[in-house]
Amino acid sequence: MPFMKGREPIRRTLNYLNAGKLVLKDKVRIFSVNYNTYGDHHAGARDFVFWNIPQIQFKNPEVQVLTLKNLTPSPFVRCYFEDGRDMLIDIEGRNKDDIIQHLVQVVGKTREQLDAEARLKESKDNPANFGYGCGRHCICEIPGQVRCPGTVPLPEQMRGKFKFAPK
Amino acid sequence: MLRASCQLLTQTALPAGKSGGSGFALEFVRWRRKPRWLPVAKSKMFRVPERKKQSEEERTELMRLHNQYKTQLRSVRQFLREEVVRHEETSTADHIVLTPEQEEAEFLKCVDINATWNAKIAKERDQRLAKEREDKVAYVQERLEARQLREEERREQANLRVLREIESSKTFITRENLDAAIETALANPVDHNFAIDLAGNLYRGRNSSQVPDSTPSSNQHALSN
Repeated sequence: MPFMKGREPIRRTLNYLNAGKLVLKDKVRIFSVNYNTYGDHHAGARDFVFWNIPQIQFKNPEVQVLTLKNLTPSPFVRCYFEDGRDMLIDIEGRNKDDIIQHLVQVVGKTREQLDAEARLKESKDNPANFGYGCGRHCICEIPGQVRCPGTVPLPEQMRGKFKFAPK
Repeated sequence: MLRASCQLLTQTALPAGKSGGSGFALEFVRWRRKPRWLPVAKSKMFRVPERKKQSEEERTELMRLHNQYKTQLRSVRQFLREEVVRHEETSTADHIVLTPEQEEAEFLKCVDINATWNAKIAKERDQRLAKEREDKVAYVQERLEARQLREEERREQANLRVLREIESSKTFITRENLDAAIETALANPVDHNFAIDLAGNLYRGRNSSQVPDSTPSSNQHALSN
């Protein structure tokens, strides 16, 4: 798809996709939305599908995201868990913000969980990190880097004592 | 590393400053002072520096600033302490990985939340459906009434038409009065071969017995028109 073509191409931008709030729990395997293309009480569901489904799929690449059209009298979301259970969430007459808020509360990971995961992932994955809670305490542990001035004096050309000393 | 007062800076040469003359404001702190590790000079050893006198006003002002500074620093320290605690809590794996019991409890909690949400929506849906049903009933009723009205009107029209037909059927030619009708028709031949002028005068044809009382010239004239 070319850039800025089609209906609301902002939905395909990386910023928009990354801004999705709903990160589903690990147990969720299938996320399905039933809605109709007509009817006032389906309006919120339609908006939700239009605006938020791309974000959800982007944020949850391991989850199967389904949308089923015109098969139901009232719209609902159904989440299937890995242990065979499922959760049915009625979304009739709700706007997309309400829906996403409720979904985050019910089937999404909490903010603390997300933060912790992000931090763990970051500190574990990125060998460039150093400092508190990382693989190395200081960048000076890498050969070739400048020694810590606390243990070994800096090279003279870096020190004010020598740089500004009268000749 | 320079302490300079700006009005004297221009007239002071660097080597002169280095000499540390007391008359100059430009003074190198770093390069002319005695080293830190040297002891107090003998001449200054027993000197007791005079305490600076503080006025009451100055003292209160300093106290205010001091208190303010201490409060701000305390709050920053507290914030950092809490941040460390928060970080400790969330940066370990066992914070995310829940036991099966905890997971189950959490799931049940979510199910409860969802059940209340669904119940609320179900209530709203019932209301909506009831309203829609009422509307539908009213609409059907309205349509039925309209249909009845229409039907009545149609029946009335048909009645009228039947009556009209009955009325006109009195002059119909039937098998019984066929001969009489033929007789009448033969007795009164009708000639349709006539003309009408703009004034509405009727001009009968040549074969007609009922020639209107008009002159042949006017008849000619009318025909030419």
